[in-house]
Amino acid sequence: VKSTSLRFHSITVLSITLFVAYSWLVFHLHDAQPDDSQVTRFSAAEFAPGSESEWTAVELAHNWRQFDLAIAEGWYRFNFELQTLPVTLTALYIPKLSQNLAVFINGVEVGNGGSFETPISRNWPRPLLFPVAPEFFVEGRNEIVIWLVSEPAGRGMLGDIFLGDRDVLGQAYDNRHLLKVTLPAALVVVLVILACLLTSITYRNRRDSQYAWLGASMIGLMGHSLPMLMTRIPVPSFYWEWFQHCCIGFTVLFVLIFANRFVGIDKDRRETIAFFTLFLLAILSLSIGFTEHQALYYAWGGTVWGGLSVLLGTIPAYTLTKVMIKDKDPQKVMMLASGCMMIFFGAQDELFVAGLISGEDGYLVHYASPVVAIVFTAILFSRFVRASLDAEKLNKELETRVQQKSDELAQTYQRIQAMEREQLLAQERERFNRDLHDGLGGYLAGALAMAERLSGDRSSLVSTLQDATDEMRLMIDTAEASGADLGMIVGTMRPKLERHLNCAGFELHWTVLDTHHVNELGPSAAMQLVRIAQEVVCNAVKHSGGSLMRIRLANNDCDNRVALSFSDNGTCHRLSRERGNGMRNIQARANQLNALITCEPKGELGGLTVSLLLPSMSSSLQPMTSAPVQGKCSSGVKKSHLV
Amino acid sequence: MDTAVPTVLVVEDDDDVRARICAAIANEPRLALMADVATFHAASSVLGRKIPRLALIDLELPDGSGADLIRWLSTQSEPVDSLVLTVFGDERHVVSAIEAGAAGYLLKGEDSMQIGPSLIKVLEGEAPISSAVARHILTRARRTVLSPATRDPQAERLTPTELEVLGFIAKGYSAPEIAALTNRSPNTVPTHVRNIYRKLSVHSRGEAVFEAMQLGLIAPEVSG
Repeated sequence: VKSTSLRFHSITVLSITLFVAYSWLVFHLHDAQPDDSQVTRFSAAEFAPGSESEWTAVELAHNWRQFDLAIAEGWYRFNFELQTLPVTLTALYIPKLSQNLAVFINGVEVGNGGSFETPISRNWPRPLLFPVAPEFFVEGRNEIVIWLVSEPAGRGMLGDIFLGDRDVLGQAYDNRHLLKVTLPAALVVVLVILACLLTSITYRNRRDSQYAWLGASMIGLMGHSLPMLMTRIPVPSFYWEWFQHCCIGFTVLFVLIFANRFVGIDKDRRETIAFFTLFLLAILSLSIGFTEHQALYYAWGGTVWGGLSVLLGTIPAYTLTKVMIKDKDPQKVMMLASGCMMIFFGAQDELFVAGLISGEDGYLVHYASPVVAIVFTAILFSRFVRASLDAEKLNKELETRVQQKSDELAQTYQRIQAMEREQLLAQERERFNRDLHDGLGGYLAGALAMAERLSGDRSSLVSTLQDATDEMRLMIDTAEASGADLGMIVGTMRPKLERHLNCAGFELHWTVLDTHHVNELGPSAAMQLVRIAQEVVCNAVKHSGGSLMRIRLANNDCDNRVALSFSDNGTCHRLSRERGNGMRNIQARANQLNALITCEPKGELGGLTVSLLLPSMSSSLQPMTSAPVQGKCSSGVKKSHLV
Repeated sequence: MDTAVPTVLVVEDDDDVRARICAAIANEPRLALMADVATFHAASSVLGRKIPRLALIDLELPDGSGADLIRWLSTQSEPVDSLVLTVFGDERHVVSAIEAGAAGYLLKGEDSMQIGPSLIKVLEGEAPISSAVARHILTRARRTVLSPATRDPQAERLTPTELEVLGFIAKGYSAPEIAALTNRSPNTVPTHVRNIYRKLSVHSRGEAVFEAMQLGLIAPEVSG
């Protein structure tokens, strides 16, 4: 805690020291004067506010705002004696002036600051240097007259003027031009670049608007600094002055919003009040331009706008001060110190606008802007970089967590799959055991009984064991039937059925045609199908008394189903017996296949025809019910529906 | 013994089954039993001395794989028909044996009266095949057509006619029925089945020799 406090106080002292030093440097540079030993300095003059007015003595700098806002033009007269004519190149140097002027020496014009047509050229912060040839001077009394024109009225100002060696004054002019023209132009460029960078950050991170507000304030400041760069304004003076006032007003508003966002305040009623105040003021000010009371605006507009801006500027200063005291954050100290410097310079400018000080050096606020902009931008960039690094770190952590969760999910999925496999395996094992018990178990039990009874002839035992082997083959074949079509599954059962039929003296007619695609028959369903076929064939062998069995797999044309039919040429008087256990088993197995069983007493071969109607893919969407099959295929045929 | 009579080697570890098969061969005058052995090594020793015309081989021998013996026999210059002895004739056992070079299979549980005629049929060019085995081969061929990623170069080489024959077999039709349904001579169906078997076996004799050497089947006294 002590270390943090020490750091906080150190940075506070350092920041204040640095910004005081910077302010002193700005003022010091503005006070730089040419070497008086080689030039003649004029700090007083006679002034006549019009061609008909009387000459009065005035001290320079002479700011019209402090005396009479109605003065639109004025004459300054300087008299001096020359014993001998100058032998070196001479110049007249005017470092501080406002608006435009023309210089006359001994009644001859030696130069001017630009156009005098409305809107006149503005040389407010710009120094002027006029080379003067020796011929312009006379031995004895000489007179310099400066005609100063102000548009709007009351904006004229003239500081000390210098006459002397051209090289010396040229150097002074270059220094002043660098300070008042070149440097502000560079600052404007810096502001534009920083504003673009900050706006780009907000474009990337829309939720964090503080960067955009700071960028907007820089743009506003840039607009306020434009007079430093332009001698000819593009619009009439009134609108230019209105634009300047709006720039500074809204710049302060943007700074206010930025400061709020910076300290985490998303909603502040003062922002809304400030905005509407400035907006109404802007509208009101602009409307004055369309009236004849523009002079009123020229007189008080700057004061109102400036005062309001300074007042608004204290809000972010207060906000930052409060947070700074609370957080003891060195960044906020630096921001506050730089902001105070800007307020200091801005207040100086507003005092000048109000005519309370001579303000011979013009606006100074733009000299504070780069410091504020750089400090604010550096802090925001450090925040942005830190936030980006934090976000990257969080993303990595998130990725790690997601990966962990994915792995866990994958493991869970694998476990579930394993459990499902285990479950399926258990079901299949259960089915296999059931089949073994029902099928193979029966045969083997029979074989055992026969073996106990038989002494000589073992043909029955062999036959039973053969059946058991066939049964096991069938079970294995159906167990591997996954993915096979219905025709292939039916094909698998032929050897066993044929052997059974042949043993009973039946002839088998076998027809397996291509059919509609039925739902995939797994091993269990395939086994059900086999059992049904075995049961039907067994019934025919036992009860029909026939000699021919036709097994046919084909599409049932009338209902889009697939029919597996068993027709014999025996008698049909066994229906009552068919309704016994055997048929109940067949019916139960058919239900599991979602199939329908029909019996036709006088079938194709004259005997019974039992048909298993399986749903095809197109018909399987409609679950099969026990409703009797009606329609073309049943006309003229008596059917017994057992399902 | 008449040298014109085809000789048969029986490799079966179950004594009862082996005795039953041997008895069936003995009852068939058109066949001569060359030897009957119960182990892989005993079979290797016999084959090192003499090559039979027919070999009945159980796949799961106590000291080795019957499929390796079949693979080695398929490399011999002399014509040898290897048959797999299997209880069930299921696709897994039979197809793996066919791919090793077997010409078919013989069911262990078949009526002993049928064993002799079945072997004669094999010698005459027929090849036993069940609907389950045909189904398996067809499934592989269809998979090849549907998905290039699962191409099976062996199944791919089957002709449309062979595939058609396989389809009928898978549906339970017998060779004469297939011939009648497709208007072909009854003799052509077994030929197609035999060709299918041949195509499913190893790709070349050189490859089979290499595999046999890798498995240690080709001993100096055998290969020499």
